[in-house]
Amino acid sequence: MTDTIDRLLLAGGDLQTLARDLEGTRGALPRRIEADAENVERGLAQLVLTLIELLRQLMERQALRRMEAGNLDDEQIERLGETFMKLEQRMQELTEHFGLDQRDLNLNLGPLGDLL
Amino acid sequence: MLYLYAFVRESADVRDATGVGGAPVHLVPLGTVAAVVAEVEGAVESTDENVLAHAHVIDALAATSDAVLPVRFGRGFRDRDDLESAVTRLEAQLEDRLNEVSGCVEIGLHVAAPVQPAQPAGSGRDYMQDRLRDLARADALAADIHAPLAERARGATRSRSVGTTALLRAAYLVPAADVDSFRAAVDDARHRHSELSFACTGPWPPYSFAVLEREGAAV
Amino acid sequence: MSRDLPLEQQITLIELVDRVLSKGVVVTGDITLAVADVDLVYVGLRVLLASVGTIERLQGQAA
Repeated sequence: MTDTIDRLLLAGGDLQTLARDLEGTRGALPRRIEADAENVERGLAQLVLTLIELLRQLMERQALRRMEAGNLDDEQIERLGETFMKLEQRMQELTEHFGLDQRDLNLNLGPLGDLL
Repeated sequence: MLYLYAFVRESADVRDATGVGGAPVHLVPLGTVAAVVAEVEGAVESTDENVLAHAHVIDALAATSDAVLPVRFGRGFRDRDDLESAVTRLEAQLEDRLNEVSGCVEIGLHVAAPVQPAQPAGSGRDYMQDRLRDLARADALAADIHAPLAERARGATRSRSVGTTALLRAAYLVPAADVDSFRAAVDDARHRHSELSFACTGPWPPYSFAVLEREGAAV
Repeated sequence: MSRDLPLEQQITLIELVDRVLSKGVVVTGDITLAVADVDLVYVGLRVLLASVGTIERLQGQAA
């Protein structure tokens, strides 16, 4: 077996983004919750926002599935779409407010991802 | 207490690998398989140091055995009896798994799409249709990359994540001798999709394929 | 994770830690020396996602 951390077989593109993405999706929750007092709030915000993002995406995907299956009328589609738009915008505002980024809210669902 | 690192075939040879807390590992034969364990004192925190030590033991085992089933970090047993009673009913599954991963390594792949700035959609309906289209496109892209690689490998698993930046996160079980050609296949995929970011890691011992059907504690 | 490491090694290290902490065989004895957060979260997530699935099914039946 090769040396422990000498295992990058291939890489290309934006490695910075990948590293950050990986950091976020490692395990199920961000491993490093900031213990430093100044960053505690940010660390907690990251946790909470990640979970909210999970719920938001779950709900959105359910709605999209129903739309695709033809189970929603025009009015419902419009209403749902508006709601999700507003939710997305709000999430962006909150994320920015805490000095976070979409990539910080990655959550690896592992084998549960099939349910998404 | 006994700290459990991995399962190997009963005939495996365990050189002196030292792991967590510097404790030397030894084999506990359990029928057709054997558990690789070490005596430890007290709790084992998931510090970087301990995690690396755990990985180091698994690497050492993989270097000398063609079939290793890594165990997750932090599994402990009061004593040998405790270990035996927990493992007895799993013996057949463990043997099957060992056969499946024999001679193989794991290759990990992570593909990310560039972060799209949010498009201000018009109506609610526009938003829904845009989302549907985006998701379909992402699914197709991920499948285009994953399917041929899974085809080549002896096994493949995919993780889903909530964040939209991760397009594909997969692990492939590949015979050790085929690593180079597999890497070339991943490189092909990368050239087909130059706008995406790729990170392909390995060879790893088969962590992602060391999953038992009916253990109960984890998914 | 040390940010001083070159990016390539950071990536590998993250991948390694992820494998050790959240992959691999899980055998429960009377003692778990280190409870990985992933175990607890997956159990919680599984309940959440299963409930969502159940609600969908029930609504599908009622429709």
